[in-house]
Amino acid sequence: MRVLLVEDDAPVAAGIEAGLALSDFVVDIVTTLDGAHGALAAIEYDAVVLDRRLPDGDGLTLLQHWRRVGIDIPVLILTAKDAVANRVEGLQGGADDYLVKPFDLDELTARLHALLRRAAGQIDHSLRHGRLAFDPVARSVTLDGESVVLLRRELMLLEALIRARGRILSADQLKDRLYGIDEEIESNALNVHIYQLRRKLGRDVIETVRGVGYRLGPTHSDTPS
Amino acid sequence: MSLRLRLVATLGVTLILLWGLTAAWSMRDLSTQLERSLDQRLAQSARMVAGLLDRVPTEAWNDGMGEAPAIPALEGVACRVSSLRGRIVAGTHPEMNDVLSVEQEGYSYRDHNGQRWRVYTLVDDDKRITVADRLRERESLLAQVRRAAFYPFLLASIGSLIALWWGVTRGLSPLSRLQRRLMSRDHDDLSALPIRGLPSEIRPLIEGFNDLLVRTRRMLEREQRFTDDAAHELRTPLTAIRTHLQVARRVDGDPRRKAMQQAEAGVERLTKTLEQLLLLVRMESEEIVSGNGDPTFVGEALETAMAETGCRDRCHWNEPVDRLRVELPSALLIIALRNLLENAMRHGAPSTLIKIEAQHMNGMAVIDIVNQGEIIPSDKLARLTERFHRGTHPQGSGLGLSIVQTLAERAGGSITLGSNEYTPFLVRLCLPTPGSSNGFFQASFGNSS
Repeated sequence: MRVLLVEDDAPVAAGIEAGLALSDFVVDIVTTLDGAHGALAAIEYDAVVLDRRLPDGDGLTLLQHWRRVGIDIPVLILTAKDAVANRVEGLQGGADDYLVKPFDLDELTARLHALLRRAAGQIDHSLRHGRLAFDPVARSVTLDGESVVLLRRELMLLEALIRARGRILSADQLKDRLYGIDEEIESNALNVHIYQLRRKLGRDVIETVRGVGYRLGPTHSDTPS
Repeated sequence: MSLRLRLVATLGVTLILLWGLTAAWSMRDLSTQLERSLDQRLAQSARMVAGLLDRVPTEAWNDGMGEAPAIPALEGVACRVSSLRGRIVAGTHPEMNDVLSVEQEGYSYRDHNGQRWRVYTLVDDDKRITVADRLRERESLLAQVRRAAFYPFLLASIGSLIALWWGVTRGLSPLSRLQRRLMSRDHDDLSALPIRGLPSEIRPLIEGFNDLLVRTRRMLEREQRFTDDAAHELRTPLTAIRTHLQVARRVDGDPRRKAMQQAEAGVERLTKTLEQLLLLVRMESEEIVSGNGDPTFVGEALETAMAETGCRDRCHWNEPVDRLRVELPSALLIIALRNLLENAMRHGAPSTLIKIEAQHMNGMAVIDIVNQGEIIPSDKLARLTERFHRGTHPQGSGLGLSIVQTLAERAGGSITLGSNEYTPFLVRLCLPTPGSSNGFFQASFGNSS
């Protein structure tokens, strides 16, 4: 899952990035409202973690702008203001959730997962596709109830495809979900991960739509080889 | 007691007393006048009878022997004509001889059957004419006149009391409106009260009140901003520390070492912010007594401050620095200089010169600290002494210049900031020198600079 972190304090941003990376979030950091606006326009994010106090203004004004123009991406606000009035103001300004600094990393992760789940209209926290079940919090996958061991990037790839719910994702969109802006990507990296997933979960788990991209296929035909 | 009640009571009692006195005086005057004029009429009627009798030949009534002719009696008035020897010639009330047998000429009172009469006797040549008025008639007439005169008085006093109540209520209506408005206000409401329509007497009061409200609102806003800023400044490093520690617990090797380093840096930053914050609070609350204790040599304090900040190589100072003394405990001067040097080091490009120039001017020690660096526009310059305002240097706590400003002002001095192409950043610290009277020199220096 790719998250945009808007935070001007470098040590805090680095801590959050490192913490979220442990839960397989791909985090991009921007330090200004302008930067956030640009990043959101360029890349498809799953959620935004927004600090309120930024060098070029209040994060809330940007959020209000996003909501006005119809951008409904899940947004979690981070702030040092803990008064009830501030929280209410934040939530009424269009935030989906609110965390007061200093917060617990586990809580931030759990809240982000909850936001993503709500955005996807899920009721419980595991994502299902046929015989596949994916638990985004525990980072585990089961096929017919049997646990399958996947590497970090493979998990991320599978999560992106499951969350797309049958929608076709292009190679670039998939790479966006797997790698941050600054990360070096080898040209065939994506193909390697797709190959590994097919090997572990069955050939038809990922369907290639020629010239367009990939989507999850039916998972009832094959058993893993 | 309400203002209205007090006004109405005072003016009302005064009015009633005045009206009452006037009425009493008029009544007394009226009685006297009426009595006098009735007496005059009594005498006139006696004279009229005398005049009539003068035309009758004396024989006509002297000869008549036996019963005197009785004239039909009129209610309340009586008359008798008699000879000087006492023979009654004519009369109205034969039974009232005791009343009418007055020999002396002039007025007198007589009683008859429990009724009082006013009697006048006129002696005219050889006859005595006595006329009498029953006092009851006189009194009822007087009572009627009094009643007729009293009602206007009563009406006038009731009318003036009503007018008084109405006038006072109307006159005080702006106050009543103000009272209602104040009572209906929320106790958190700090908005100004409207001045329009207020009488000139209470306008200054409400203007003063509004000024106070504005000041209170500004003060609350400043406090709120300070609390928000302090919360932000303390919680941000705390967040960094906590997150990095949590990350460190879950990873190994190099990432763990990096996370621990970051957490430590966070602790250092938090410590620095806390120290500065406590220092600022101390500067604001503690009494900075000047003229008490030994003055401090600027040069010595500067040496210590340079050593503490480790910028001795970059500093260049002129000779008066070593001679100049200021009326400030050395610990505080070191704090001020250290903050200014740290500021200059952050703003100035690395390894550029920091110039310190001191001079004695109008009883003040003027210490200029100049560093190279980018020119700061005047609007940003003005904000630099605001608490937690960091300029463009995230390393600082944003409190340094606030601390120096508070310290200087409490000691009776000042700081001024300047930025132009020759001195990219200048902080001028003015502090009182020993033996100077602070307030005066601060004011005169402030005007000249």
